[in-house]
Amino acid sequence: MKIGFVVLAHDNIFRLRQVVRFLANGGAPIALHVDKKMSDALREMLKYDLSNLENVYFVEPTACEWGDWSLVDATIRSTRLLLEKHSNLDYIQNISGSCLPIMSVKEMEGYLHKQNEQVDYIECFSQKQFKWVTAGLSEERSTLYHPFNWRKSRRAFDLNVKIQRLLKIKRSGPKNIEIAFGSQWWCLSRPTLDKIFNSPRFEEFVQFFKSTWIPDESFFQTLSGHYSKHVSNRSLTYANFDNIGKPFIFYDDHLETLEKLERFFVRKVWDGSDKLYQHFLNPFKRKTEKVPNIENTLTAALEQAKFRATQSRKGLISQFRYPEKRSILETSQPYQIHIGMETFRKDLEALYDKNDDTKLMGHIFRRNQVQESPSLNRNDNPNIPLWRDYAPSQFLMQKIWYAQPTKIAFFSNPHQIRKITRKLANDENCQIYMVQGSWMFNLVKRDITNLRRLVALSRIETKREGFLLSEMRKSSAKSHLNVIPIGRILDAPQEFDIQNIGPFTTQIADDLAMKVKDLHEQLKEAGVDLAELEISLEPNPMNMPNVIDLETYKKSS
Amino acid sequence: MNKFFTRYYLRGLRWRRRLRAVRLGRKLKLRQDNTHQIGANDIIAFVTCHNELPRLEYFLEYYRKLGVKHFIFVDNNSNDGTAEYLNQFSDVTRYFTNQEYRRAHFGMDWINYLLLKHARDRWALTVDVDEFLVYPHSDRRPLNALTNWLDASAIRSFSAQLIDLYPKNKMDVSEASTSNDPFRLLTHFDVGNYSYKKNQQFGNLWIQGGVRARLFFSHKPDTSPALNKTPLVKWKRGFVYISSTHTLLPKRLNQTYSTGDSEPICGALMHTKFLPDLSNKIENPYLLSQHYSRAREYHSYNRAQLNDLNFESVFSEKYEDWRQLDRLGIISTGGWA
Repeated sequence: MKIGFVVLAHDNIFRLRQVVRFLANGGAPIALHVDKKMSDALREMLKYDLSNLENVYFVEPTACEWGDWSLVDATIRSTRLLLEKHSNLDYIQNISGSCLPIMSVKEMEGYLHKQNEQVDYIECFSQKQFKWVTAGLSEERSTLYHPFNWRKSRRAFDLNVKIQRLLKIKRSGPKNIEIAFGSQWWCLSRPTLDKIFNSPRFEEFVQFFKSTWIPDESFFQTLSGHYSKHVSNRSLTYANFDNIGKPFIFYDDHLETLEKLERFFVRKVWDGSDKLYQHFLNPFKRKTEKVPNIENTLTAALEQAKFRATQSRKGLISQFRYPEKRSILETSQPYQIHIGMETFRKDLEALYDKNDDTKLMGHIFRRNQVQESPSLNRNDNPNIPLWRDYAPSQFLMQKIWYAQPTKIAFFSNPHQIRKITRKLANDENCQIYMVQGSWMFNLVKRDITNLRRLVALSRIETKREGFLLSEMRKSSAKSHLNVIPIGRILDAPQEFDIQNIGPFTTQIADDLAMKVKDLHEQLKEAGVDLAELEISLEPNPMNMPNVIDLETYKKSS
Repeated sequence: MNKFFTRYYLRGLRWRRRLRAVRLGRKLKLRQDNTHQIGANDIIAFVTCHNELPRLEYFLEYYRKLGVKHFIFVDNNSNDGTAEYLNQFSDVTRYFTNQEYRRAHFGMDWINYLLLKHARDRWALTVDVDEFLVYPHSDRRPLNALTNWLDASAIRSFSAQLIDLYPKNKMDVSEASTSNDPFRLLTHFDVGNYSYKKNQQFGNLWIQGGVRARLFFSHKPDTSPALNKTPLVKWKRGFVYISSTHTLLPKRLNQTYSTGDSEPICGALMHTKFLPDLSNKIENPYLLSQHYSRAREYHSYNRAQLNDLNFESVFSEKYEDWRQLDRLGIISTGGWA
């Protein structure tokens, strides 16, 4: 098997020279098309440098424009030249000046020889089935007329497309031929190329593709799909494209991967990758063992990079990601807020201790403290709460993000989180477990005798609680709310089903329940409406008098 | 209507700053000229410094290794031998000035002038002597691999958040002279302790936080220093830095972040301020008079008694490399595989 190369180049003649020299030394004839836009001095330099090499032909230069017919034209002329000059060629491989051969010509010819049939290595996908084109126009590349180049005159190009869409223009293409797309870098066998070039319909094809967009990704693909006996969709050149359609570039750090890759060329290599060029263009380099799996690994890594560029990390706030929606707290994973559950702190701690993937924190929004763990007494830096309150929702976002993979749960009360209540309500990751009316526990513990003060405090607390509940119960709210009114807890143990943690049963001491009931009586008589708390009117279990006896409270607490 | 006025206000501001840059910049004295060494595609670093001799060796070494080909220094009245030290290098051009740092918009007017003069249509890196750029793949790929990629992606400005490095516990004064590698002394940085606000006028993200906000400014968070920076820009005539490298004009250059689904590429500037020599600096009357907002920052260091300070907290993390920063979500590869 004998192979020849068509090289399309437009810049960096130093790297080009190296590649051409490597291929020519391998014994392959080369047709070199250098873009007309390259300066004459450089071109002469290149010609001079390569003049001692046999079988390197300079094709008459034309100005090539990306996406234009000119590229295909240059390819056709170069291919024809090679086929004419060397009647013994079996294959033509088309590469660009920034492709890097990662195997020798010998290895390549050996590989082609092993495949007994006349296989053509060209990606050839119909757009309907495979969606090969990922960015920009797809089918419309060939169903519309494209007299303008998008790179040169964007407005004219876009306007032209719009007008033709309005007019519902749909070109049918050459008869009996299905338009196919694929990478521009192919390796075709002589019989197939002969069939294409000698076809009586060749002029018709040329005329059609001249007015399509990016014909270099469909001309040879379509025709070899039509004429070839056997198409292998696996191109011999490894290329992968990022989200904006430009090829991924390889660097020195890819050396180990590329060594193991079972392909003959890679596109595209950064021209500063000295190590890569040195290593792969060394005629005496050791043969390395190929690893079939490495290609999948590489592709997966590139896909991952592409994914990262287009799909940002949800729940992250950072210098490169600023979710602007003011009403929503965007978080990465579920978190739990326990409101009014301090009374059961010890039991909750024990419950969370059994679970490794959720961490229970204290009151991280407490006015004068960021309580990182439930039993922490004070912070080292008294100013940290001020810093937290400077941007409370971002504080919480980062707490949740940086706890990953652990999830967090924390204690709070309606007042502490008042500034971010609306945002919390709109976050589907927010799970709230709440004892409605839990402020009564606190009031009882504070031993307040002044009835007017009690009434005032209870009104404030009810209002705060009401605000939280009304936000969380709005139809637009997405958070998960579990509320149990305090009254039910007083009468009998109640169960919270804490997600991923397990059932939690409230246990309350009889005397505390009794005191709360007494307080309730007092407040009710003073005219505070506490119907929502569902505290039963039955006398308290131990038949204690309804008046608060201060002495006994102090002793018991 | 408001938008309309903002636009013209910003245009006016940009012109005023450019004119001022030329006016002040022309007073700079060129003391060592190696600009003929600059190649067509070379990346130039622009640095303002005042008595930073101990840091220069590591600084130059670090950026040469990244592939910065030329350094343009504005030597602001140094008298510690900085001049003599810089004069020995053929990749350093040195300007001298004894004008006041503060009155030149903290050196930015000088830098704007030099950018205009030397960095037209090329990539320019504007950093301080204590800032070290880290970007995706920075351990294995030189800076021009990055700028070539940015060129191909049609990105003109590259943002890098300032990350304050600090010693694990307390500042070790005794180690000061034994090593000039700041990364050996300063090992930790803050994670998840930042606040972000969008500046409506300039369109940039105003980032505050880190160890400085936590230790010195938490009583008044809004005064804590800004951490957002755009140090690497493909410069064009007409661009101008407004306030340090935090803000650029025209406005579109500040749009280095996304509000939706994509992750643009960005890096970090590792800030090595908390070296033991800082305690000498905060007593230097010149620095105190010249720094931002009457050196509010330096005064607060004084109060906190730097040498007895314990830097570590729940936010502390040991610095490893760019991969760690990427994993944590502080920088992003933005599709650069």
